[in-house]
Amino acid sequence: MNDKSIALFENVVTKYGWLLFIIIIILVPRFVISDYVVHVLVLIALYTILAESLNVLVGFTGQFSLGHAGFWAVGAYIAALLMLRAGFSFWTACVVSMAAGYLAGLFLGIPSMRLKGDYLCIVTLGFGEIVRILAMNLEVTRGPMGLPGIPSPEIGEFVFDTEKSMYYLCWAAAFLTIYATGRMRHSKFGRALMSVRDDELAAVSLGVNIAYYKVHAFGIGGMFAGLAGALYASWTTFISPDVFQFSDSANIFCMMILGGLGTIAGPVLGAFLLAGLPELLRGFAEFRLIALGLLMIALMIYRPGGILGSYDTAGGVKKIRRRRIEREADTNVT
Amino acid sequence: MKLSVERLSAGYGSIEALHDVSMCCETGETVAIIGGNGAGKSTALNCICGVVPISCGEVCLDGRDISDEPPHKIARMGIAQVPEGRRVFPRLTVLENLEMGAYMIDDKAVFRERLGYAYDLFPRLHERRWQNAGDLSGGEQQMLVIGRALMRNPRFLLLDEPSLGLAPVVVENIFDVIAGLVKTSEVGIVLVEQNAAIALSIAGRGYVLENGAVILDASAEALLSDDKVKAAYIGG
Repeated sequence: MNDKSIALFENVVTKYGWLLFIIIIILVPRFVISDYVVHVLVLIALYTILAESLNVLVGFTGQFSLGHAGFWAVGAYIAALLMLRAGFSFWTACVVSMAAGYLAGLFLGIPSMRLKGDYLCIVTLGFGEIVRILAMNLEVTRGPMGLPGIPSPEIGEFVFDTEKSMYYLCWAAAFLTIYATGRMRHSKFGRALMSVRDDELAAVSLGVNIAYYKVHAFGIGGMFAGLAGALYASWTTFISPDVFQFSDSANIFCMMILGGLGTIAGPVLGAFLLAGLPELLRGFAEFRLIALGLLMIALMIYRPGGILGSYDTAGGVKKIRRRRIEREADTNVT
Repeated sequence: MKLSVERLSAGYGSIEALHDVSMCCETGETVAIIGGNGAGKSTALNCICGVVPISCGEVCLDGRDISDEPPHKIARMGIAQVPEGRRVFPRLTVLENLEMGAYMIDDKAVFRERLGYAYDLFPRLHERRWQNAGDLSGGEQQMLVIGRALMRNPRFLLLDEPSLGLAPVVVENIFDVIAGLVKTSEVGIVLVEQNAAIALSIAGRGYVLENGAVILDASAEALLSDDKVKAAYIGG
């Protein structure tokens, strides 16, 4: 196949792949009666948002972060407190949570301007722990007792208090995140992020303000994690510091790597595998973590770029769009 | 426009890499900076671009001291550095690399015109436009970084060792293009090279750096016929 037919093929797969995925997600609750399965799928939607937002940081910008659960916790606690103590509706609380996640990202992004790789990992890991320990010790968060009775989202008379209604809300948010990051991947902003990832000196020489992009990658990652946090708080109606452990940050990180770093579909696949597989493997009882570990080792050996690593499902769309720009440029050449 | 460094000194820690160096370049001319390993050639370019801090002296663009500006602002003033070692964005396509070169251009029509210009200079880039830049050959990557730097129509192009590690035939091709730039556009070129013969063949003037200081400053012809330069850098 030549470049052109590959691009065309990828475009068709990408477009209809996402469409099919959306249709399946919409139809699932009609055919699945078990609340348990729907429950797991809501969890997957939330992990999709988290993995996709971490991807902006790690996949696009190349900044390793092991503190994503911290942003998630910030969003969850801010939303919960605003709803419980200040009587905010879910929707306003959600927006404030996203803003708080964004600000927390900027705050953590400032040290990131000077740090890279393993050093940055340690700082972000510290951030995740600080948030958790704050939640554990502050008066307002009620420490390890957590915050119970968080209200459900409402629109007029309709209350999102069933698994199925939250399922639709969370997947809508997940698709919003997927769409936003997908658009970002092919925008000027996204290209600048990736240029910082690939070669900082070269990016600077083209006039890219590296500090701005590094900090804003954290901000955007934190913002979507804040969204996941608000949804999570409202869905489970109870949050405590135990929920937002380091193991969750690591888990989100693995989802992104496993699915395909820097791709759009990868983190979604990773969320399905790492949030869904442990449930499917429940029959193996204590062996399931071992099985999961072995699976990850095997994947990293045979597909080091992640399952979708070499196949960027947004690539086709990009090429078709680019071809239009190209044709016009070609006419200038000849 | 005129780009100049006045009595510039710079170093890394306690090691002084440049000492009291003064050089200049005007738009429309090509200036070569030649010298051996560790003479301070790359440091001089990095100082101009603000990547390496200077310890004393000035970097001036049209008489205005720009040495305190951050590197990305200096780049936006029309000074395009092509760093040593073919620093493409390997996981972006050739086209995306060129789009990054036009990072500061918001006008789509201008972008297309510049893209056409880059493809005109290096038709190979047009053939390879869908490929990841990391998959290109060395020569193609060098073409890409030069094309990328030219996307925003810079006033000054600072080239750091464009011949490094390339086959002679590719070097010739690239230097032909560089030589043509000054004739067709209002750009000033500062060319840092170890390959003194080829650098001086397309430059109007040249500086010879040794141990961080300018030891010779003359026209390219004069340098080419200078016995010391011949012996030390051209080999015969």
